[in-house]
Amino acid sequence: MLFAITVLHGILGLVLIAALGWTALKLAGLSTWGSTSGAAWASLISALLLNITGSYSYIFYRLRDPGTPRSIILETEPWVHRILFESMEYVGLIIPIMIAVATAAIVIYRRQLLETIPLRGQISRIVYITIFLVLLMAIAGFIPSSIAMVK
Amino acid sequence: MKNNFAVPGSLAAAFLSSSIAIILMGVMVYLREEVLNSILGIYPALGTFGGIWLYGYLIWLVLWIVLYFALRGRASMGSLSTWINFFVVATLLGILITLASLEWNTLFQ
Repeated sequence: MLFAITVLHGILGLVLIAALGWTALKLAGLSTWGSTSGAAWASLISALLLNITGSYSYIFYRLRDPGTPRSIILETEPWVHRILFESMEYVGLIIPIMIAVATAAIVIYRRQLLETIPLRGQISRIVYITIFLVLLMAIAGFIPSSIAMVK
Repeated sequence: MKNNFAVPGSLAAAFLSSSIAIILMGVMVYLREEVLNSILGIYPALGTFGGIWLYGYLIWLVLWIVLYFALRGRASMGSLSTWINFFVVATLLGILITLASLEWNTLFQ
């Protein structure tokens, strides 16, 4: 069960990157598939689910037993936990907030978005910064998992 | 100005509540070990992360709701580019405060 949730967490990370990419493509006018608000909502829902599954896995990651991932990483490569994992843990909390702001802007301007390219360009700035942060957090989460995974 | 899009109060509420919440989350992370340890340790299995998660999102949502009802009647509260710049600066500040609390010395161990 726990391993399934950890794997689901990884899959949701990929879904989030794809959904954010879809939102960026819609805002750039490079995709005709679906709606921009649909892409933004998909990003927000996947970010919230990613957050919930990550928080659940974290309970087992941080157990004080010698065999838990946190203990193994702190013993072998302390910087991987102290810098990479903790960056993902705390900076990752603001990702759903950033996506919620982009979604609010997309929903509120939905009619103007279709015909106003500069408006899409301005909202894209939030989406691009979010994608950049999500990719950094994905790397920061992948490295600890490759040393010791929650299962 | 052609690219100067007016931000209605409902969207300004989203920008403002999110900016404040991100900075407050950064402050909570920074003070998690010493000052706020007992307040943030609401669920022992999650350590201080549980409190940062709960209080951070609670502050964000409550602020958003309060500001939404306070500002929703305003048709224009400045330009979109100004609000986006404000939000990006607040986000970077929140991230920097968070990163400042990490144990960077472990990189050289």
